[in-house]
Formats: sequence, structure tokens, C-alpha cells
Amino acid sequence: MDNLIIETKGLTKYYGNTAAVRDVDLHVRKGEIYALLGRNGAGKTTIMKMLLGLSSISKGSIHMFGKPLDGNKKEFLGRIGVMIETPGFYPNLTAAENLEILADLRGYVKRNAIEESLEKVGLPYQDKKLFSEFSLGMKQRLGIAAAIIHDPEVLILDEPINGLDPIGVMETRNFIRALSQDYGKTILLSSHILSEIELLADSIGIIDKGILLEESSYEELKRRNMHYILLSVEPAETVIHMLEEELHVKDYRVTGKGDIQIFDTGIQTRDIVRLLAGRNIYVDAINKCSDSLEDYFKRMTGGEGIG
Amino acid sequence: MVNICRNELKKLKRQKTARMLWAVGILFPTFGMLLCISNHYRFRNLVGTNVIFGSFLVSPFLFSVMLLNLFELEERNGTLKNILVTGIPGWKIFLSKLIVAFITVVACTGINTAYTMAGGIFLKNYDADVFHIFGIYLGTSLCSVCATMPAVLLIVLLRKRNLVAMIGINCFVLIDFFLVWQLTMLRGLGLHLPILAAYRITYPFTIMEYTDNLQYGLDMLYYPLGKGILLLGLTAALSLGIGLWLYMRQEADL
Repeated sequence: MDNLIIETKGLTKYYGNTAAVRDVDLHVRKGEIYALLGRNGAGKTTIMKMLLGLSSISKGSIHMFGKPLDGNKKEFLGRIGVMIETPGFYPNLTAAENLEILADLRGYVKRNAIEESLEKVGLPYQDKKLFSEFSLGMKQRLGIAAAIIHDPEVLILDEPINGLDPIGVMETRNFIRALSQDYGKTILLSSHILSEIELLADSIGIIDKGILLEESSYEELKRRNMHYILLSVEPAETVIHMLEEELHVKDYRVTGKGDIQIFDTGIQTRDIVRLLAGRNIYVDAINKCSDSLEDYFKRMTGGEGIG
Repeated sequence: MVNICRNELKKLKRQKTARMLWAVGILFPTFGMLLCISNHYRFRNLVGTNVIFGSFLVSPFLFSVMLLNLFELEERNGTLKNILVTGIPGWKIFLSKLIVAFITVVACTGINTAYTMAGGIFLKNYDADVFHIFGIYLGTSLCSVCATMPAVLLIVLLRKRNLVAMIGINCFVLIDFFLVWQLTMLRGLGLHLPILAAYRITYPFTIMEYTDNLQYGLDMLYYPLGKGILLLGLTAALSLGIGLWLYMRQEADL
């Protein structure tokens, strides 16, 4: 585990008596794209703010680049590019002027960094348009440009594709992918667009009500949880008992229609059919199914919406 | 620190509030100049008028409104987080905004001096010593701004409610000015108020034909210079200290 760039242990944040984030153990490895998934108010932004020292930690610890965060904020922040919530810039200044301020504050940005970062996100350098005249998509692009201006090792991006048009989404996705693959950047992002996460993320953390419900690589998640066997049979209670007793099925769920979803990866369809046929139970249907990330997310969080 | 202050100034580029404040600073000295020329006053009356209105009304107004503007623009645009993630400590941000607000006051004091020198040509007993006049304006402005420092607490506490903060600090500045302006009527010379201390300790050097006897007389009759400076210094130091502490506390949880 020595290639961990971000690691949290029991990270907790209280606002009064309410826990916004509870005992989160996050593991972001070098060079990967890690996506935090969760509804609005699930605690994604709070986690990101705590990682950046923008919000105090109630309990737990953060390690970045293998070192504890306490007291080393300045050193770490120079190695991290950030876009948190809606990108905030001065409306009376142009994109280049806004970036100049940030570059100045960073203090060690190379020459042409502003021009290069604007070019990378597809914004013109010489444009006299003020930030107040920008569309939401342009603002989002400028936010990403500000995050990469100092060539950071790690990028923390909160909803980076929010507000972008379809072409912009595709370009940003390709750009983020290139940053990870070609330049070896480690990226922690949050997004509510599940289809994009499916295309982009190497690892996924699902967070709900401040609790990290699951954390694993996307491939592992797909292999382990998103494939299941759907069994339509009656009576479901008897069959479940048989499956538990005979085939040692543990991970299953009964849907509202009375169908049984079996998630245990070791169970074969033919074993189930053989067992039920042997007990003279008629099977209406049995299928190998595959969940989308959205279905899986709903199942994990027990709800419909995601924000 | 120079970089941070320069960036604070860059943020004011094309900004409407900053333009309005500059307009006040540039146009206000014309009032005293025209008043004194039309009434054929002496040159020292022009200096006195500009001290009262310029240093004790316009300077604290410019300082506090510019400071509020600088804090509020970060809140309004959500830019504070961008600055904090560069690793710059909160106290430097706080200090840089104070410096820029004070730079505004110094620049307007310079403009006031230029107007005084130009207007003075038409008045009796003209003294062409630019540095002397600038020193008078800067000294009185500095003391007046120090006396207005409690407004920093209002700014830090109310910066997310711009209108309330604006009303609050303007009331504070106006009450201070009223106390100075109606000093005799309100029998304010004996009051231990920072703005009155500022006026009392700077009064002697605003008189062009100032003598040591005047300072001695004031010290004996009303308020000793040392005590006045202590009161002003404590007002400024406590206001800034508490203001910074509150700011750092608020900033710890964005």
C-alpha cells in the first residue's frame, strides 16, 4: 500500500451534533482516477474540503503523499490542483487576468503556464471577455485551467463536468483521462453523472449520508457486485431457505415483484436449476443479469436519486 | 506579501464599487477648495476644512468601505477557497486587504494635497510646502483611520451581509464625524472616545502657525498627547487583533 497518495483513517466531520462525514477510510492510489459517488449532501465536498484543509477535521487523520497532513499544509497544497464546488473567479476580470492572480499567489508557476492551461481546456488566451460574460461551461473550463496551472501531481475536482455541453463533457473526459494516463496525475473527482464515472474512473467510492459504503476498483466492482442471477420462482421464501442451506448463498435480495437476485459470484446457474428441479420446484425464469452503475448505486444507497 | 497586495489591487480593476470610491476620493477635495476660494478665506482655512472633511470623514469612509469591498468580493464570488488552496495563510490575506485599504487612503491624501496646493494659489498666506501639507493630511488621516478601526470588527462579522455591513460602517463613520464636527456643541473634549482623541492630538499640527504653547495648553487643559496616542493605539491594536482572530475562526470552516 506504499503507492497511496491520499489515505484517510476514520475521517469524521461534525456540524454541531450532526455528522456530515463519519469514519471514512479513503485510499487513492498513485496515477489512478478515483471517483466519489453520492447524492447531494452525502459528504463528498466535505471530504474534499477536509483533504485541502478548508474545513476542520472533527476526528480521524489524513495522510497525503505518505505523510500526515497536520502542519504540512503549504507543502502539500503546492502539489495539488483543486476545483471545489462552483468555480469562483472575479467577474470583472478576464480568464487570463484571473489565472494571473492565482499564478502569482502560487509563486512558482513556469512561464506560459497561463497560456498553456487555457489552451488545454479550450479557452482563448487573448480573449477580452470578462468572467461575468462566461457561460457555465466556460466557467467550468476555467476552473479546471486554474487547477492545472501549476502542474500538480494530484487533482481534486468536485463535479468537473457539471454544466458542460455534450462535446465539452467528452473533451473534459478525454482530457482528464489523458492527465492520468499520459502525465501520471492522480485524480480524485466527484460527479453525479454515473455514465461518465463508468467511462472514466479506475476506482469508485460510494458515499451515502456521510458513510463510505463501498470502495473498490471499478473492474472489481463490476465483477463482484454488478453481475447477478435473477431467479423467478414461487414460493420465494422456501427457495431462499433451500439456497441458503444447500448452496450457502449469502448475498441475495428479493425484489418487490418477488424475484430473487443472487450476487454471490461462486454460484452457477446450473447448480440452482439442478437443486430446484431435484426438489420439484418449477422455475419461471432464471437469467444472468448485469447491473449498470446507476442500478448498483440505487441498490447500495437504497434510493432513487443521485445528485 | 508585496505579491499578495498587488493581487488585491488587481482585483479592483474595472470594479464599480472601487471606481465609485476613487471618484469620491478624487472629487471631494474640490468642495473645500471652491468653498475657500469663493469666500476669500486664508490658506490655513483650506487646510483646516480639508482636515475636517477629508481626514475625518472621507479617509475613514474610504478605508472602511474599501476594506469591506475587498472582503466582500471574495464572499460574493466564492474566490476565498481558491486563495486558501494556494497555501497562503489567512492572516496574510487579512493584512494585505488592510494594506490595500490604507493605500487607497494614502493615494486620496495625495490627491487632497494636490488640490490644496492648486487652490491655495488663490488664497491669502499661501504656504507652498507640499510635504508639510501632505504630512498634515496623512497624519490626521492615519489617526482618524486608527480611531475607526472598530469598523474592522463589523466588516469581519458582517461581510456576508453586505448591505447591513455597509449601513453599519457608514453609521459608525458618520457618528464619529459628527462628534468631531460638533465638538464644542457636544462638549466632546473631555470624552474618552478614540475619534476625539485622534482630533485632539492632531489638532495642533493642523494649525499652520502652530507653536509648542498650543500643544502644552491642550495637554494641560484637555487631553495629554501621550494618553491620546495610547488610546488610539489600543483601539487600533485591539480591533485588528480581535478582527483577525474572528476572521481566522470563520475561515477554518469554509
